[in-house]
Amino acid sequence: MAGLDTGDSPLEVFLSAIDVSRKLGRANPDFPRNIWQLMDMVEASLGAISPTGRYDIHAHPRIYEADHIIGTVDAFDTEAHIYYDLNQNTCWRRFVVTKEICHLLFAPHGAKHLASTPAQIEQLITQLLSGLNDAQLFNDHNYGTEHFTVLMAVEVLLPHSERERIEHQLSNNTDRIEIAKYYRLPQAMLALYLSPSFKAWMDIAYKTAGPEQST
Amino acid sequence: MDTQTSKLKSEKEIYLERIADQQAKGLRDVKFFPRNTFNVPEEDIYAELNRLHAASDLPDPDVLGPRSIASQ
Repeated sequence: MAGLDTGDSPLEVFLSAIDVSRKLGRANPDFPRNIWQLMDMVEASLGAISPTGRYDIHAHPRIYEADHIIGTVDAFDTEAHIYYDLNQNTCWRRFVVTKEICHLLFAPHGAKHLASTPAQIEQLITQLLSGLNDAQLFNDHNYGTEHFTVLMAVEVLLPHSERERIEHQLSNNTDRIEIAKYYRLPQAMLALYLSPSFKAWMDIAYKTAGPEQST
Repeated sequence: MDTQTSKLKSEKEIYLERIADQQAKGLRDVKFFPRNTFNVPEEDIYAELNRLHAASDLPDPDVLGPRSIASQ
């Protein structure tokens, strides 16, 4: 599981997401995906390049009257802390934690795009306030890590390989909300998954990745 | 500077001081998952982040059940 950088193309991001998703599926093919297993996998991957040979991810579910920020991650060299809004529904909480875990894959040791000083954080918040919201995440072609990690998290929680089954369910008039509940994925992210553009991107990525190797 | 601006600015200072403290401890990256940041005063964002870091962890068994079982 290679670390990513902001210079990576969307295809490289999708390939990394497929890699994570396949490994997760081999560890446990059941749905909904197990967030702890994802954490274990990313901890092992980052531990391999950690100065101590170990990497720990700590989750902090909290209630803080969240109106604007539903999750955040603080990354250190040997550990990370993911804070998220406990008042979100289960699907959103799972998605937030998954997305923040995916952020860690974007920040391997030595990455240059870090935002850790007070000035950098101030700039980051200014950028958020300038309009980086959900609506723009999928329309703005100037991809950044926020875009990438949303796309990665969707693939991790609902892999493209499930598409045939889902399309079959939809053709049998299964409600989208039932499908979202089964995978414990926010409905908005299921809508993204079902969008023609996302499908087209993942078709290309899966074709590039090739068939899954049995282990 | 009116009273409200002064108060809100202090929220920003509190948060950025935390970041400086964490940076001294090796913080190398921070990211956010924004939900709604349109037409929001930046000071509100800092106040929310301060509330987040002042809050305590609570159990979330729906997402994070017992790790020893989940990871087997």
